[in-house]
Amino acid sequence: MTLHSDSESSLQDWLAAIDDGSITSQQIEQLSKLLAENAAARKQYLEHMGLLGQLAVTAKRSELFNGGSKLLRKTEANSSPTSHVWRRTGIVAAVALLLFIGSFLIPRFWGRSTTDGVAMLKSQDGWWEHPGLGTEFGEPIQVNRWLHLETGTAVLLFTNGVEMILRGDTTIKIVAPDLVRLFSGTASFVVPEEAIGFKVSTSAADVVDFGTEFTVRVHDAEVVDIQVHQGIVEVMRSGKSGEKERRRLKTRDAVRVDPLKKGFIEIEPVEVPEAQLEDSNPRIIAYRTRKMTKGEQPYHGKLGHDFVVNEPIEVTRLGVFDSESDGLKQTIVCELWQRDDRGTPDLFTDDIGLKRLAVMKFAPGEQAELVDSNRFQALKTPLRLEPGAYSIVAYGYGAREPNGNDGLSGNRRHLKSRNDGGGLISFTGTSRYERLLILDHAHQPLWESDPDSFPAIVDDTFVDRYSAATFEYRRVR
Amino acid sequence: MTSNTPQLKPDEFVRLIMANEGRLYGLVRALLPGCEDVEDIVQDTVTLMWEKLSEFEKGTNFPAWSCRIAQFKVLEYRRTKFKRACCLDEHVLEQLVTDAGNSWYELEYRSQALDECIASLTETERELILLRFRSKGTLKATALQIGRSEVTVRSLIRRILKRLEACIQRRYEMGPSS
Repeated sequence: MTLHSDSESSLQDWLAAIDDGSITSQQIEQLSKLLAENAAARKQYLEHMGLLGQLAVTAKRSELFNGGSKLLRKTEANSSPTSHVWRRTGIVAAVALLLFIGSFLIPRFWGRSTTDGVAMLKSQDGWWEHPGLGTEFGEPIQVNRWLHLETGTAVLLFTNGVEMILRGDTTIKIVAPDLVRLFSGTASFVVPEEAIGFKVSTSAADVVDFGTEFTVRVHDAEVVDIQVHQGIVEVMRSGKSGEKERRRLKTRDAVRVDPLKKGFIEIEPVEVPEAQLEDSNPRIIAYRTRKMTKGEQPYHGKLGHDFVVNEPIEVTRLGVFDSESDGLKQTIVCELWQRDDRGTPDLFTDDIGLKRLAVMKFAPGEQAELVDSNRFQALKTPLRLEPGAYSIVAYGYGAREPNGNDGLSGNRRHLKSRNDGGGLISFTGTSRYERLLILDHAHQPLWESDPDSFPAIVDDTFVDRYSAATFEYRRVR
Repeated sequence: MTSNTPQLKPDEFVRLIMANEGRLYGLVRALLPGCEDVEDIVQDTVTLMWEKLSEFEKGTNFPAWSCRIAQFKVLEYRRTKFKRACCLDEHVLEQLVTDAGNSWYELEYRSQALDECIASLTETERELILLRFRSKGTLKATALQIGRSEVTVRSLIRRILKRLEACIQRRYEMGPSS
């Protein structure tokens, strides 16, 4: 059913009145009549209200995580009773000071520009809770950044050499290059000599490092446990009248600060899971998508990710994304390509597929181990890859088995993770796909993928934009 | 329901609510045009869903279940608190709830597209539109907060909404890399 132009115009007027908060009873009555009679009007109405609903949620979350609107802050500042002259003088002085600091002092003392991050993700085997509360490999993390690791572990390396190991479920805010606020969960720190003075702040106590390794855990409504693995830290808690109580902890000391109790309580050392070191040459999954992730794009053609091998590796298994982790409903094909970068490793549009090194079909019902959201099958023999350029590709997705696509904004990035094996491989490019052949089959478009073609069209934004192909690998012994 | 029925764990429930919150807001807004208590009703809906969680079978139709609970809460609100003389007809409410349940995943795709489209706005436009549609936000309050006239803000908001709608539609109709 279509919507006539008169009705369309009326609907637009009523939607505008709803948006403005000026809708009248008479208009609602007319709207009700139109919606009862016309399915197209209902569709348009629901889409518009869906947009407003999503905007409300986005606004709410943006307030939660960004501290509200800059526009609002600007006007609130404008309404302050401060005298205009003094305010103006203050602003000029502040801007001049900031310019001075920005252009002169910061590069001189920190040796980097103000737009550089203060930390980077070093490794990750867990999952961030939300795209706005996570980070990615290669992304500079700026100050005032919130992070919430929901499960597993993530290691961040600060530019001053501090290593921070987060264990989910943990929420932090990076306040400054040498200051982290821990809101809940567990974070361990390895602080080198040059970063002595690094501080971890919690609501109940602050921990100042004196060159050491230590763990801080916030649990049970702001109770804080601090344990020193090696070296010395100073713990400070503030009393009701603002006075500071201090306590120095040395190797193997552990104390608890409970806001409802006085002083420092001696405790047994906090149990922190050791890193898993049993297998000195573990199998690594290159591209991961979180379990139960739902694909949203029925794209039949080839979807690929580029990577570079830096040291020889063995590929042991190929894998494909299984939307909702509930078994494949369509046959998906995974291909590993050797790629020729034509001597321009940073330009991906001129790359060609040199050779298909491995092909594997994943049919519905076939045995394929599920790891996170990917199904894996072993190669008959491990495939050795020498240093060079490669691409991992999958195709065959569709309405019954959709692939994932992170789009431009990356609203699904928290569902993705990569592992470069400590530098064995590098993830490059911005993903690639194949232009489909469209054949007119009795006026019904028939989507076909060309099995021999390399996906030549370079996409935007992310090195692992799609949830599609992946592989498992290890270092060559 | 038998005790063997797979049920949602609390974290799975929270994840589902997080993912579907925008559409629930949209549905309640649609069922109560012009109502300013949408956020409260959505919260009541989520609370009731939590209370009824044991009745929801994991893997079954979450959108349909959540839409029905939202409808129940809207009807309850209309009976007890809504002062407006005229509301949408109950038959229309039923149609909208059914339509919303059937097109839930299309609406999800549109929500994802919206995130991208918001990113394409200028910072000022983004701030303005989020200010307008934040909790209990009204046109009048927004105009006051940014020190512009209601007419100007209305016109700016209309323009931004039009752009967002066009952008979402474009993305919805385009292929993988659009």
